[in-house]
Amino acid sequence: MAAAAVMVSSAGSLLAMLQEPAPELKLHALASLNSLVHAFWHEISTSVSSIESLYEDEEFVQRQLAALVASKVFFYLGELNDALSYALGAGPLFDVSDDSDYAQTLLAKALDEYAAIQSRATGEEKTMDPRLEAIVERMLDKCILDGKYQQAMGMSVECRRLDKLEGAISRCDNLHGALSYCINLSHQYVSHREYRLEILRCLVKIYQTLPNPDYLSICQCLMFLGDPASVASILDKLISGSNDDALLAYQTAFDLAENENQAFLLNVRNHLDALSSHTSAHVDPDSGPAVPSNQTNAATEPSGDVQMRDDINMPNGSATTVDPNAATHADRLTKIKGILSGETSIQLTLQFLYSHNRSDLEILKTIKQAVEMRNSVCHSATICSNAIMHAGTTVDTFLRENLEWLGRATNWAKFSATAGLGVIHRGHLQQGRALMAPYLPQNGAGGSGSPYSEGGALYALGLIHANHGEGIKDFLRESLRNATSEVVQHGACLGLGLAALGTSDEEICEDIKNILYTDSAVASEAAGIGMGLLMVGTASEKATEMLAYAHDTQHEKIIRGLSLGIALTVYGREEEADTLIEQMTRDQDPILRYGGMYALALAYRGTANNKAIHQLLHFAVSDVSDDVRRTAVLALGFVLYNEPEQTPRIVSLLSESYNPHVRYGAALAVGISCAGTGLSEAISLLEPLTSDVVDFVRQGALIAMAMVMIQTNESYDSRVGAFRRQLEKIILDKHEDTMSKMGAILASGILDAGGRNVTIKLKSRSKHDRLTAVVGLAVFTQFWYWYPLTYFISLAVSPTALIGLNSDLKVPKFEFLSNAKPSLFDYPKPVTQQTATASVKVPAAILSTYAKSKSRAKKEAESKAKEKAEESSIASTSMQVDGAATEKKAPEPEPTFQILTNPARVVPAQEKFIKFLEDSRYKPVKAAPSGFVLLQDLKPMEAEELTLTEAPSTAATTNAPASSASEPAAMAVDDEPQPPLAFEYTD
Amino acid sequence: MPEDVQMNDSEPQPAAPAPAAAAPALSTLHPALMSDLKEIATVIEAGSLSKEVRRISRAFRLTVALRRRVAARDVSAFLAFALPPSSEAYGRLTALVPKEDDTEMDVDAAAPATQISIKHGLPEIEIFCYLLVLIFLIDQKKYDEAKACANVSIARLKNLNRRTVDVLASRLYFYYSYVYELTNSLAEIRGNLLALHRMATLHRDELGQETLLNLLLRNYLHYNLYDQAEKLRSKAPRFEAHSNQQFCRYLFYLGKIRTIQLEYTDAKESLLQAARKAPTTARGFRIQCNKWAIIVRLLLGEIPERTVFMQKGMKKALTPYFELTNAVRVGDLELFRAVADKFASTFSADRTRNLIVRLRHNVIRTGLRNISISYSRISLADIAKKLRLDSENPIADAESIVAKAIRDGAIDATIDHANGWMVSKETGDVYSTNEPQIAFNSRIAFCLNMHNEAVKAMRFPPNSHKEKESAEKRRERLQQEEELAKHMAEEDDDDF
Repeated sequence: MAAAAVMVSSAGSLLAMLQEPAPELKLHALASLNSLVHAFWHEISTSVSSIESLYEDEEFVQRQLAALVASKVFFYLGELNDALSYALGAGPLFDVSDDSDYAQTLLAKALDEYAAIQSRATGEEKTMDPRLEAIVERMLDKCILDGKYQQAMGMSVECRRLDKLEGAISRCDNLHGALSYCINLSHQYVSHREYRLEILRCLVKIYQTLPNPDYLSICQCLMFLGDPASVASILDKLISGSNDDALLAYQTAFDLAENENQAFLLNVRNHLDALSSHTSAHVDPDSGPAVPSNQTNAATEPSGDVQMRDDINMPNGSATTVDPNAATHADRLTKIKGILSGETSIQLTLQFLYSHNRSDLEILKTIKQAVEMRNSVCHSATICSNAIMHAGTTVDTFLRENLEWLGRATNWAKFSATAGLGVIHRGHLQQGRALMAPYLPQNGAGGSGSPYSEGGALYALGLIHANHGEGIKDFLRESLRNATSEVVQHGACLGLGLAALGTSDEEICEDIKNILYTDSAVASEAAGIGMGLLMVGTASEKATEMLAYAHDTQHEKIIRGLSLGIALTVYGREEEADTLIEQMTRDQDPILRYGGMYALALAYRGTANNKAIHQLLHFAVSDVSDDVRRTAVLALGFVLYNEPEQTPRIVSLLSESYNPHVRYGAALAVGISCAGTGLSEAISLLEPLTSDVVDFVRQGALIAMAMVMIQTNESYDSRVGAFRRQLEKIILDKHEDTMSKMGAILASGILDAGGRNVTIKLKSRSKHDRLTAVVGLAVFTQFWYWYPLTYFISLAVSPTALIGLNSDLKVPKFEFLSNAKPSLFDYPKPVTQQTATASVKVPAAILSTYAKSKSRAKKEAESKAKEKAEESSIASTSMQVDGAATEKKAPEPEPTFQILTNPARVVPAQEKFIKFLEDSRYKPVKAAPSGFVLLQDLKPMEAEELTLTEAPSTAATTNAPASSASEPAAMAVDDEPQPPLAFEYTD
Repeated sequence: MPEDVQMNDSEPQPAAPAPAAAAPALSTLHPALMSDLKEIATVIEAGSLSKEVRRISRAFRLTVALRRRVAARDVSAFLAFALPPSSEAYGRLTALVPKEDDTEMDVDAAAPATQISIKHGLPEIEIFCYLLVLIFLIDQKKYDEAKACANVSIARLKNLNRRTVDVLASRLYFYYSYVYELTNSLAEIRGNLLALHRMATLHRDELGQETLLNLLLRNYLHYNLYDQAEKLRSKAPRFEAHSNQQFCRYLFYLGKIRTIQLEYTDAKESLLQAARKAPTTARGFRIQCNKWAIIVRLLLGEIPERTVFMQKGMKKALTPYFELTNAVRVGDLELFRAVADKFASTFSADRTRNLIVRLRHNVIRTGLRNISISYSRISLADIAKKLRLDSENPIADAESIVAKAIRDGAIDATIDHANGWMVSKETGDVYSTNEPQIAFNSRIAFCLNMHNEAVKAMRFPPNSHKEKESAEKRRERLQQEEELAKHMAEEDDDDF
């Protein structure tokens, strides 16, 4: 036949033969055509209808051959849909294992088709061709047989065939690899929430059947699934096991706590209690009394600041009487609960941030001098900048040195200034209330008098206890009930919302609602936001109630607060939120539409969902209200933060819009989604915007740029240095607009946030969305309307540290390697002071301090002097053998690696260079390059050398009494940050 | 078919420098040539790494410029430089390039002019080497080796799926087909070309599709398979043209097909467009286009202007067609027959002979029109005499011819059957009809279309419109705005 094919120059004769009545002739013609179709498809295509009719002819013997020929012709014509349907008609004649272009293309088409049908919504009717299904199954089986497991897994996920997925995984030789591959797959490529959960459920099932399960991954999956009971039982099993198992349990708990899902963690703790009471009763009935006491303790957890201490002491006390097994179990249980409550990590983080604080006060001094006296906007921006710069470090030196200057803040500025303290002391759970005591409203008595500082103090307490408010909730509630001034109510609502973030506590909700219905603009606005915070991600019924009230009220402020609150309630609910979003985005009131944009942003946060992006882009160009357009663009940042590389591309055109609001939104969208990445495209996009013609666009661009560049230094990207100089220039320029100046001041704060040891991160290491961070940034963007909300950015920061812990949850001395040039990830160099400006500033620092505070601050002043003299005082006093510090002294060619000592700053970009040393005494349980890592002690007999005992508070030191290797007592007393002295208000 | 469709980038005749004459000059290796070749290689490398097809096309243009100077030793030296010696391609290609005595080569090798090194193993470089050798072999008239080389390279191309290779691949297809055409064995590769076309379609390689479709059309037309060619053309996927040269060729083939299928108006449009779009250097191609266009216009009853035949460099080639046109214009059947006989060999070489046969009818009609203009009434016998119809019944013939011409609208007249004469109607004033308007409109449309296409073809450097406003300028502007606002406010005050 092949020989004949060369000879023929036209298929016309064969086509004519098809018209013959004799079936033999037709058959012969078809058979010949089948082998000639590649050369004469264009001729055959004109009479393809006659071939089709042959296929439809029931009488015809070789219908399948006709189908095959028709399929090939359609394939050559590029009509793949028809080609596929005829290929299916050809049955066995369509050879799947064929290597030709035809077979390969049609198989790919078949897979696409199958996946498309499978992923259609369940409501629609599914008409699956069994022949198509058979082909796909054959393909999948072939992949598995050929050992191409990843392909098989990807295909089965795509085609929604969990049974095949299970089969592929179980056949795979590298089970753990396969499972983690699948988890990745489900996060990155499965956009439908329900289906993703289904996959995860299936994966957990497989995990659990393994002889040696990977509990870390299981627990992560379970957390996605929201199954606290299973997590609790796994943890319980682990802490009942060997030492290594306990380490693993701690590690798991840390990983879970990192995801900041307060409600879930609370549930796990409760389940743990229930479980352990069960088991210990089983193991040792004598220890009965110990367990209930433990439980009551847990139940009465919200007992205030002292709670943490007895939580640890109690079981220790009772442990002496019971048998050692139960004692260790109880001890471990306490520890794991401590971790799950987040207190352990918060405390360690606090210690780390305090000891490693490298903020540069010179920058603040420059700002302070440059800012005009009467410009209150820049004045509060400076205070705010200071707060962000020292977020979580408890270092309030700057405030104390400039009390008189600080006193210029009046009214709402005073509110903000007081709230700023909360940011600085963020996570100072034990001392928080004591610190704020001077400003808090005093029951009955007049107190400090000013409602502004009282309200600010309540807000500050909320910031300190954000998402860990067990201990402070009741106090805040009481303050809220007693408050009469709307300013205090405002602060209390915000504080309560923060402290009880996502708990949807009924009683608190009632209290806040009462405030809401007072219909006072200031207080009810905060109540709206507070309710939203309280019910983050619950998609509760209350949202409709809030929406109804938003329609009733006259105050724009209240509507705005409520619409943001409603948006918060649908956080992370994806498709579930669609009805509410629809309702809001169709509303006549632009403020509610604006809330709708936030609802879209939060419901689809970090999903890069096409539908959401489409909708947002539509609003960004078509809405009549500038506010809505701005927010729509900005919301893109939230939807896209899981794929930061995409955002600059998507908003690049919008960033050139004629409308300044859209440009502003584009800047912030890039800032939000690319925060902390230092992404080059993001910087290129923002750079022209920082010198935009409109002042508020400059402001947004500067802030966004700071968010992108946080923790990158000049040797990593030279534009960072240029940006720092630009900020300084804007701040010093007398003619600059206030708006952009404020942006520059805030930007300098964000750039050096948290003593240069934190970054803005919206996703945790285990790919969970960090609820607090996302919520924090969402509310932060409200600073457009209400400056005090700027402080919400402190919720988004997370320390970039590797903290290794031993089984006692103490920090042992431990070294590891960073395989990159030290300068690449080093702290930026401190600003050299200009002598001209120095002379002006000194008196201001001394003036307002009085004797007592002087003596207390003396030590700090000394260390400050030292800081100027050499490198950094804090690092040297805290017995840190930081590699960077030693490296700097030698001007020789830079080494290509660096030894870091536990705990160490590891910036996100540095993570891929981190290596653990082979011959180290400690072996990490999980080879994570940052975060909390539990270390397995390979030489448990030897004495351990501990670090990071230097604590910012006495309470923390008493918590770690056994481990104080250095001189903690003296340090602790001296270093305990004093509450700043009462402001001398001038109102 | 001779080199009628050869464009500037593929003119083989002058490109073959008589090797014997040039031998002494070429025997010493040009260091400059070598460094040029190396530079091309780096351009390709850069294009491949940055995925910029533009650079690779540029590399190919540079190669064409070098083509006449390349000698065997240059090719072998370049192969040694560009390909890893252990690779399969190197072994194959060096075997194809003829050996010359390489005594002086060592001298040059010892003192390399420029130190350029490239990454080995890039498929683009490999394909480029194939292409270079293939062009070289064609220029040297070593067709058998060229065929072998082309076959190897096509086999290699089938395994590659890279968009950066596409440009080079499309050139390779061209030379592949060309070498088979030179050896008159085009039919052999038709199946292969179809397969390649399919592959290019699946890879969405549009340049490749364009080139291969043209090659296939040429292939079919070579064997007068007009029907097949038309079927393939109409069924193959169409898209916006990528290469001007390929588009010209396509238009030319399209024009030919349509001419054969009697769609003269469309054919004329295609052929004229092809002639207009072709680069001025592609003289052979333009002559060929013009020949066909002239015939099509004659078939349409138009008489091409004299300037068409007087175009620079075409006068001689178009002489037969000029005389033919003259015969048609006069409407003299005798003259027409004489011209057709005189240039019979030229016409059959141009494959236009069957079209010229069709023209006879046009000659008659033109003559008839002349008659109808000159006489308001004339007897059919006189018409037959004037047209020199020498059949058995010339009057009946004349009657039928006149009737058909009237029906076709060629002349405006009536036949008086009883008296046996034809009555012409008065020709009205053209300017009283819409015709001038329509003609004018079509010209305007043409100009507008050209303008629009020119605008679309313009390219701007990215971000050139973003001119940054400096801080001082902004301040100045704001101040001005403020003053203006104040001024306006004052004016408002004055009004009250």
